[in-house]
Amino acid sequence: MKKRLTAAALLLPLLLSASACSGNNTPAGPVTLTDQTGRTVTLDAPAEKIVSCYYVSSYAVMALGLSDNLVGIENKADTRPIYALSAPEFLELPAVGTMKESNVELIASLDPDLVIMPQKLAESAETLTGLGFDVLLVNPENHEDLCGMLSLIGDACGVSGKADELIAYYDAQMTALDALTAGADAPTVYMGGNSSYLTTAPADMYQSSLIALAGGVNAGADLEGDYWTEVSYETILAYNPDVIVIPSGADYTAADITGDTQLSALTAVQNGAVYTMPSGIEEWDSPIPSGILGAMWLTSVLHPDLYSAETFTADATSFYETFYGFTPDAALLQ
Amino acid sequence: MSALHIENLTAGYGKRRILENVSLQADAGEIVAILGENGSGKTTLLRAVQGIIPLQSGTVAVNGTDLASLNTRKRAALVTMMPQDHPAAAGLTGMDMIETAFYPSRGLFGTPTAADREKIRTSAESFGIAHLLERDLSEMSAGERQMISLLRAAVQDTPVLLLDEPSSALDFNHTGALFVLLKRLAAHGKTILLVLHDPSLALRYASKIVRMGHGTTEDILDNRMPDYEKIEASLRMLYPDLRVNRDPLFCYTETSSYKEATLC
Amino acid sequence: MRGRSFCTAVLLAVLLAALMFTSLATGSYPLDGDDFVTAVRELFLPRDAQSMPTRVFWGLRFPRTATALLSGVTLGLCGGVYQMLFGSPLASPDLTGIASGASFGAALAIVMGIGGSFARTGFAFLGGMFSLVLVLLLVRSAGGERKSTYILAGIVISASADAGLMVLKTIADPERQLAAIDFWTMGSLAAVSSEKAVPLAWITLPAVLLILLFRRPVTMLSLGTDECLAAGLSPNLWRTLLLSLATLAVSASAAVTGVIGFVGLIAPHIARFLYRRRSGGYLAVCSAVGGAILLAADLAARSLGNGAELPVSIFTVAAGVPVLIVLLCTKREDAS
Repeated sequence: MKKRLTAAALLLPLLLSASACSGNNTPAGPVTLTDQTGRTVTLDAPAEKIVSCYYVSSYAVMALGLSDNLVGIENKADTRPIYALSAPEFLELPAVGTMKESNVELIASLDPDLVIMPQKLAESAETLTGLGFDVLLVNPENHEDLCGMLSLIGDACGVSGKADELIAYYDAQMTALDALTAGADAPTVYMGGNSSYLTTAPADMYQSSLIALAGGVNAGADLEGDYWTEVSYETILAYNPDVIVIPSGADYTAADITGDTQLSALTAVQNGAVYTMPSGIEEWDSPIPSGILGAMWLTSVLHPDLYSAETFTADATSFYETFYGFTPDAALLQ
Repeated sequence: MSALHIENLTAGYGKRRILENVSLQADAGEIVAILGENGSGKTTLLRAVQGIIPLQSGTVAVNGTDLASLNTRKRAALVTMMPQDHPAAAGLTGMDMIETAFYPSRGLFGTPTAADREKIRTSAESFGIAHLLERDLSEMSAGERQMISLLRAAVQDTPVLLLDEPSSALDFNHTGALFVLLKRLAAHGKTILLVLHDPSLALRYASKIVRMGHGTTEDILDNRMPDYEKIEASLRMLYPDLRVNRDPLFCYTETSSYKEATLC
Repeated sequence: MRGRSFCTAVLLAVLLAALMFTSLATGSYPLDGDDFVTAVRELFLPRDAQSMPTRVFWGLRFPRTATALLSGVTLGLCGGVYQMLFGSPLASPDLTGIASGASFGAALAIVMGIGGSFARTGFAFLGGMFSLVLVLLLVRSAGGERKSTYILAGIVISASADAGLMVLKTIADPERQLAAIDFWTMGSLAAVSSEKAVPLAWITLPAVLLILLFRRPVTMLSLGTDECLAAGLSPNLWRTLLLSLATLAVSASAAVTGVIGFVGLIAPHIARFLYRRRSGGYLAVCSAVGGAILLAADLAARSLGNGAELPVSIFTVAAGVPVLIVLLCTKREDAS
């Protein structure tokens, strides 16, 4: 079992680099796309100059090898460590706005061929469309939509082959993970929210599917909703999870949880099974192009006997080398 | 030593002076009526004596104690005032209002005793307003509130009482009862300083009549051994058509429907 | 009159007892009758020697119930005090900018990234108290001691704190900090534990008791400045004192539970409907009604979400609005 995953991880980059040669040769010409809010966008030619108003789409631009084509980026780019590692030029780009507001005039002055915006900025998108710019609205809230977004951007920029490679990698890894953890004991995992460990991931949240993929049972699976849901101490005690996972972007640390006297009796705390998802590169707990690493990391935490930390480090390193063109420091991956 | 001793009192609101160099003495048992036009400083004088507005200069002493040296609570044991406006707070009864009279004398929390409440009931009965004790202030008429306010001041049992237009909203019968009550209080040694608008009431009941104008006492008339010609001449400065009749020109008598016997 | 007061007292006592019992018996951690008996028997054992159900009961369930009761009592009582002091049926603890100030304080702690929930609690408390100081300074420099001056000063400070809160929300990180601020401004008792409930009790219990003992000055202040002075009560001193006590208690409770809307406004109106008078036991009735509202709202907040905690303000407002409408339509106009 362990062998198979390692083999897949070793083979994949080879396979991918082979297909990459053919993938970039999409013929130039008008491209008609339907974005993730159902709008129709027609580009005369594959986009050369791109503005991204959302960090997830900026990550996608990077993962698709389009870093040189980005001319504008969302605010607070300096808070995303991956930029400095993979595309330091991003930090010099003009900041065009936040998730809530975008600087339409600044975007217009950059004269982009394509603007990628989150669904929340639909209003600004209409304004820009009215000015004659092509805008793609994306909404990568789950794995399917993440893949959809990668395909959209790939098609719009003439690198659909690169998007297919990424998606093929995800599929291969997911199949491998499923096979790996099938039949193994599934520990109960409590995933704390970003703002407080008294919030957790409910059934319909991305993080819940991530736990399932890693061969765990989400403690909050009975909760309804698709966003961090507040729970009480008592509820956590009643769940009594085997493992507590703190997401990459959390405002608190494992010491806060282990030091909380109300939680000292939890199995996870007693066994020292409180883990923080690595945050040195990207937020692996969210639907971003490297989100698959979150599931792989969690598998290595929940089932170290089936998928060791070393194997994970090797897999993650080769992922970044293949798609992002840099070799991460091993310390950033644990 | 007079019971109430006001000397060179100057006071006003902020920097504006309303009273200038007011001096006035009253002995125990005296009823002093203040007459004057609107804006002559009558109410301000009462407020300054009570300490509601600070003195700019001068002194006010009760039985030889300078009021400026006392805190609010101790001052309220020597002098109390019935203001012109009477509270109409919803949800509070006449009893609630009158009970506050015992605040200065009943410890930290100012809680009245059962005996205090009994005293309120007896006084209210003799004043004919026992039925108002359990009624909501917001449901009373202006006159009823005035009587509650008056009884609060009387029950507080201070050597000096200040009343601002105590009869302004009272009907004929209650005006009579009011002055019977005041005379009884004076007979018990209280000093009463009251603002009036009716000179006949002043002539009938006051031992001293103070004519105020322009923020000072323009004349202080002795009404115990009255020189009616002098009084008439002085009051005509205020009321040009006034005629003082030696025979009572007013109709308030002790034999009206409120019997002195029950009140005193 | 006597009969009515007695009925009100009995009714409220039974209601409070029932709500407290239900609150102690309701929660996501399963506790049965034997566990309660064990919990009482193990109360004085050291923590490590206690069984798990005992720890849940004394560490979480009981503190949460006590905090709901105490915060509700505080909000109801202070609401009553504010309405009497300002002679306005609209007055509530929010009036002096406490809620806004406390929210600003908590948001500041969150955005500045200052540690755990205890720092947040402390900042919220300081924010609330700071608002009161500013209001009092403003009233003082305005020279007026009229009721409207307080209300205006409160509006000014509230608005400033709200503007500050908006600034903080703008610069807050949307994933972590904004969510934390939003949770806080909607109020919740989910994070209450004995570590938070005990300091809260130390602050609010004495404040509540003092206010109840000094209910006579509250009554006198509602009669007006002149009447106060005539009866020997310094209105400025006592208004400041009572407002400070009330603010202290409300800030402390807001610091632990977040902002809980409407209890301070609605409880005095219900109390007035039940008790008719605003003297004697009125403030005690306000307290009991406030406690009952918050206990009930917290019960709903923790049990309707199937393990998820709902913001408690949803329920206090949902309960408050119909009551307020009924009172508006049935009660005669309040002269004050």
